[in-house]
Amino acid sequence: MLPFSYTLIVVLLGTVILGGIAGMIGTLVVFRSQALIGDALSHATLPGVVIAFMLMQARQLEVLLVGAFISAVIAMFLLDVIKHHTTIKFDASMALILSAFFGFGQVLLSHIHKDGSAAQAGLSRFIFGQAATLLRSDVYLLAGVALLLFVLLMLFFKELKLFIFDEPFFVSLGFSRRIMNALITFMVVMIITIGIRMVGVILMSALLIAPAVAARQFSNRFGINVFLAWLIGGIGGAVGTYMSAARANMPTGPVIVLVLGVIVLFSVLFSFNDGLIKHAFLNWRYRIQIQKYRALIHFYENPDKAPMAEDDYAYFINHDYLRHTNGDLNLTKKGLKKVRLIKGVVDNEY
Amino acid sequence: MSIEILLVALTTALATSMVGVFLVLRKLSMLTDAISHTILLGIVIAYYFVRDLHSPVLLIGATLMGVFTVYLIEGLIKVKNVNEGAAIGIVFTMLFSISVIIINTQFRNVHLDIPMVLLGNLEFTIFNRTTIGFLNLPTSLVVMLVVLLLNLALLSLFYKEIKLVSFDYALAGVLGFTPVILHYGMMTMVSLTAVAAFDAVGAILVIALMIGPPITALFFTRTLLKTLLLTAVIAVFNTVLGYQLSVLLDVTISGMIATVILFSFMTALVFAPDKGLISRLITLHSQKREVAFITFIQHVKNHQNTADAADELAKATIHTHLGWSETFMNKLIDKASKTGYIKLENDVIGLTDKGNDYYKRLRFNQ
Repeated sequence: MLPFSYTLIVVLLGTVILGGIAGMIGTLVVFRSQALIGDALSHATLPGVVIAFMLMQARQLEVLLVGAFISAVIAMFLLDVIKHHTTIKFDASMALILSAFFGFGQVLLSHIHKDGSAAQAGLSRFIFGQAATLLRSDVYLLAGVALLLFVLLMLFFKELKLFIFDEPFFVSLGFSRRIMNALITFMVVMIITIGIRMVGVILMSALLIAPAVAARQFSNRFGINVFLAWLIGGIGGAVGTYMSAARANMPTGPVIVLVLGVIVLFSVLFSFNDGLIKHAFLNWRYRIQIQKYRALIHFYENPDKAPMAEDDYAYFINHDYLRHTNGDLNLTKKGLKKVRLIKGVVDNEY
Repeated sequence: MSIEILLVALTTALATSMVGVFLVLRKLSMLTDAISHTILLGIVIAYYFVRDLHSPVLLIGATLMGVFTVYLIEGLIKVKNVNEGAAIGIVFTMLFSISVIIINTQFRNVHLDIPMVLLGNLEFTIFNRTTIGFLNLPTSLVVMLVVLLLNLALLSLFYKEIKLVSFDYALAGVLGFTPVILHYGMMTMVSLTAVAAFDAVGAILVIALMIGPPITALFFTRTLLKTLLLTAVIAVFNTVLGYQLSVLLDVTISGMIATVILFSFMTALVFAPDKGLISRLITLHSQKREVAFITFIQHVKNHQNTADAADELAKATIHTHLGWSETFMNKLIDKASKTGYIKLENDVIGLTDKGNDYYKRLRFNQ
């Protein structure tokens, strides 16, 4: 058992808060079918970070975050322009923005660090984040941002829900599409900029997507999805951090993502709603039933044709699925119900 | 030798953008993002077995992992309630995490540098050399040339099939082409190209090289062959310009090429004829004017010879009835008088015979 040191508690707090709030915001983007926007925007923050560093000559987190935020907003604006004014598919423009912004960031970085290895070290921090070196002040900042985003989410919960599920109706009620877009973009960009510090560019998108997808397997209600995503994100952060601290050389970010991935896998397999296991079980039971009641179904389908051998029906007659009335063989109520259940015919005669 | 770096960059740009065209057309652009990241896991697993960083087995492992990634993503999409983007995002981040964990725990002492894989280094490609016959060439150049030729050969051999699958996947199935095989064949080529290219430009910039030139070219062309040719031209232009700029400014070459790709895309976005922003604005503007003109003529026709004509059609007050500004109204009146559709009698507007004909043409679309 690992002792809970001060550092571990700070890091745990950080990852749990981040995982939870990222899961909540992630539900919004996943329901909007824009899951990869997190990936695109997180890569696109690099030039902003470098420019903020060049202008302010400071390494404080807050300064760099402002740069990252502005850069991501510009990327989002570009994506929006391309989406609304050209025929280019959204995923193609995301791929380009993601990669080209990152390349531009690399150019800026190589400009300030003529020495290649320093540039590489800076990039490496940016790509992988450094959850293990989280400070108390970082956690305060994170908690503040998380609280702000939570309050925004709760305040506009009704509007966001309507906007996501029925945008035309939402607009027809007189709400502004632009403000809603801006709100969602703001929340996503905020969580990304703050999350990069901890888990890095590449894995940030997993923190947004994975809890939402896992939650989606258990409920069809938006509110419950948001709550479950919050729970799953928080659990993933906690378990991942603890596991990475328990063994030497285990990077925190990737372990958190792995834990989340395992949770997604379990949800997809074992969900009571649409889980793969449940589907497999239903299929299996269906097949068994078909085999067992084949003759009965045949009778239901072709009552007038010459019956199969009387022996085939013996079992069903014994169990009161079929009955001789006036010399003819007929389905009983029980038999009719059984066949209709297997065939999936809607029962409206009773 | 700097010319060798440029050659590596050019072959990389050409090979990647050729497969990129089909990714863009099939709306699979973000798959490159996934494939280029999961390559790392393929390398790690292959390294686990061969324990040699220069073995070609690593490249095979990486390519297979790219195809496996596509397979996993498609499997996850089939699950109810998981959409495409979410499936991509989960699969590649998870596989990437696994590779980072394996490297950190098992291969700490090996020079398997993750940032190196993600970022690549064009400047260093010339130090790793291979001798073929009497030629001593950078290994990257040889690998990229082979991949480029393979891509071109397959493309020209299966041009018809690839075209069909790209534009109508279902029809390809109906005609008996087994689109699944073509799809995975294509994905294998994408994966192989990304694997060959990441050495030079890194996993993240491969995406720009693949997607950038095709979506720039698509602003100008409407047929597949022209798109392919223009893509190649744009790829070469971007690479040469990016290379020159990076030498001039003393910055990273691959990053500069990606920046130029974004820049040329933005230029096309703004200035392209027909599909560019400016041209669309002009079209919108002229359409607005045309609709206004038609509305004006209709208004005149409706109120001509009625009791309120003196008010509705007076030159001074007509703009209030149509809800337009006076200057805009005057422009329209000028235009209509010049074409001879309207005439002014005591400052009241009326349609001429020619105007009546115009109205009839509009009305019955003759």
